[in-house]
Amino acid sequence: MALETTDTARSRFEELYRSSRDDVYAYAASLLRDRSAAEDVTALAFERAFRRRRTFNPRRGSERGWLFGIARNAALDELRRRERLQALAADPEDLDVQPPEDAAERTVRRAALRDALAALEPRERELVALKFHAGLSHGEIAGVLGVSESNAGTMLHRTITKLRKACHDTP
Amino acid sequence: MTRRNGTTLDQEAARELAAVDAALRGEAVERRDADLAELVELVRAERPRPRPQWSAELDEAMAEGFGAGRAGAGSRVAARVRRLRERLPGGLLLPSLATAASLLLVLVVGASLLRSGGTQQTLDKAEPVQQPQSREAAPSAGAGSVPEGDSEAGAVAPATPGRSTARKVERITSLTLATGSGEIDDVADEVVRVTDGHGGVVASSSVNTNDANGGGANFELRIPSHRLQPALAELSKLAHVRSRSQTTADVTRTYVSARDRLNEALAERRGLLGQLARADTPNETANVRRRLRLAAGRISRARSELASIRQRTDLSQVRVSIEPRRGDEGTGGPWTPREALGDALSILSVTLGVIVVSLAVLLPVGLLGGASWLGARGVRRRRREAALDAL
Repeated sequence: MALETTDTARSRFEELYRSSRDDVYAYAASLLRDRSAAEDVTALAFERAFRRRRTFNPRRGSERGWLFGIARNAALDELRRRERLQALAADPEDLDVQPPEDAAERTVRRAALRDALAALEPRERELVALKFHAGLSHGEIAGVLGVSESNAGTMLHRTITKLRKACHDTP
Repeated sequence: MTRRNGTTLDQEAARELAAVDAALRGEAVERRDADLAELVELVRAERPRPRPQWSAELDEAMAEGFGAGRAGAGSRVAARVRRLRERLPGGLLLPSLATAASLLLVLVVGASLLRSGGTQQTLDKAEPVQQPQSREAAPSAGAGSVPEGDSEAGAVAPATPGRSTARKVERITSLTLATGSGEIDDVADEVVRVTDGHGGVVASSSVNTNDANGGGANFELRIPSHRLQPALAELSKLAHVRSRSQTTADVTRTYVSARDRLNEALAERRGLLGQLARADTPNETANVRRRLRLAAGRISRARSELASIRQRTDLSQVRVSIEPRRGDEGTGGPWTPREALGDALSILSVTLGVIVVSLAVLLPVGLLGGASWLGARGVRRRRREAALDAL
């Protein structure tokens, strides 16, 4: 990308933007638990990535991994700035997500999952966001977090096991 | 979070993660992984979704290249980004401070090095200043004459530990100048003029202008050591310098040794004079007088040696040879290719010198700057991770 022409680099970035906008937002919102802050951080991440698009080096990882690395730094900087966070639980949009046809059992599991997600450690919640919301591969997650790929897989499996247990052990 | 050595996933964990990946891609999974597929569905349902209005604004900002010059919806996002960027901690402040500190360190180290070099120069220059004091110890009286009420002991202080002695350095410089055959006389006159101008003396000289080979001249000069460098600079300008060499010899140890011997002999003489005053018999008197003569001889030799060293160190020896110029050393003739090559090499060597000096300055600055940048980056990374841990 670094050696490409300006137009090509921009069109590739626009493609990356279109495929990642909602994923980056979901990741930022999961990490920050604040939709307004997530909007700002997502915009900042794309703005930074746009400015640095020519510095992207494909040999160091995928474009999405690079983008989520930038988004993570922006989100963590925002966390440093804000010492208190607002919980997403109060967000009315969450209530709209629940489909009306959910069965009772599914509703119970859904509530259990929410409790389990809320009880996760921040790093575990970040892993869930990177995997389930952003759809990153283990290698990409490892690159974003700065750990080895197998370590990322181990941590992710441990987190999934927690959630699985919380959902399916619910009476 | 630092990169750690990976742990190996067991087969079951790897299979389950593969099932999660398949479910995320919308593919079917094995029956035993049905609960994982359901978990994926439940978690995906919790995925935060952006407001359509904000998404539209961000799309516009993207289309505008995140510029703030327009009044559209995208500029509102850009303005929010700008405000957020201003609020966020870190940025370039820490690396800037680290770089400034590095530069300051380099400046301080450089200044201290320069200062220590300056001290050395001061020491060199101080040497002649101390010489008049030393000259007081060099008596004009002949050898063997020991004045009564001897005051030399005070003039020549013993070398006691902790007392510094200015370095005594003997310098011999050889300078070969090349000039046209008809100019040897003029250059020889200039050599004398320069020598006089710097307070030196011409110890010997020979000028030959009738030689079939073009003649020549040789000078043996004594130039005050503290004027040596400016004198050499002037002498070098008189004609083309064919060669120049300088040898130095530190004779401080020899000087101190001679001074100590003189002090010992003076002390012995004082003691003997006391014995002479108390001598009762002619034999005793004769014996003391004989020992006094021996002491006077030692004093004389030590003084001569000290005077010789002082002369050699106070006055540097400069040997100047003036030779007729060879055909390839012309300065008034046309600029030959050989001269051009010589000039080019000179320019290259100067350029190389500038590069080496620049590197000597820039390399430490670069290394310090790089180290500061890495350190600042590490600190910022740790702070970010700490923010996550603090949740």
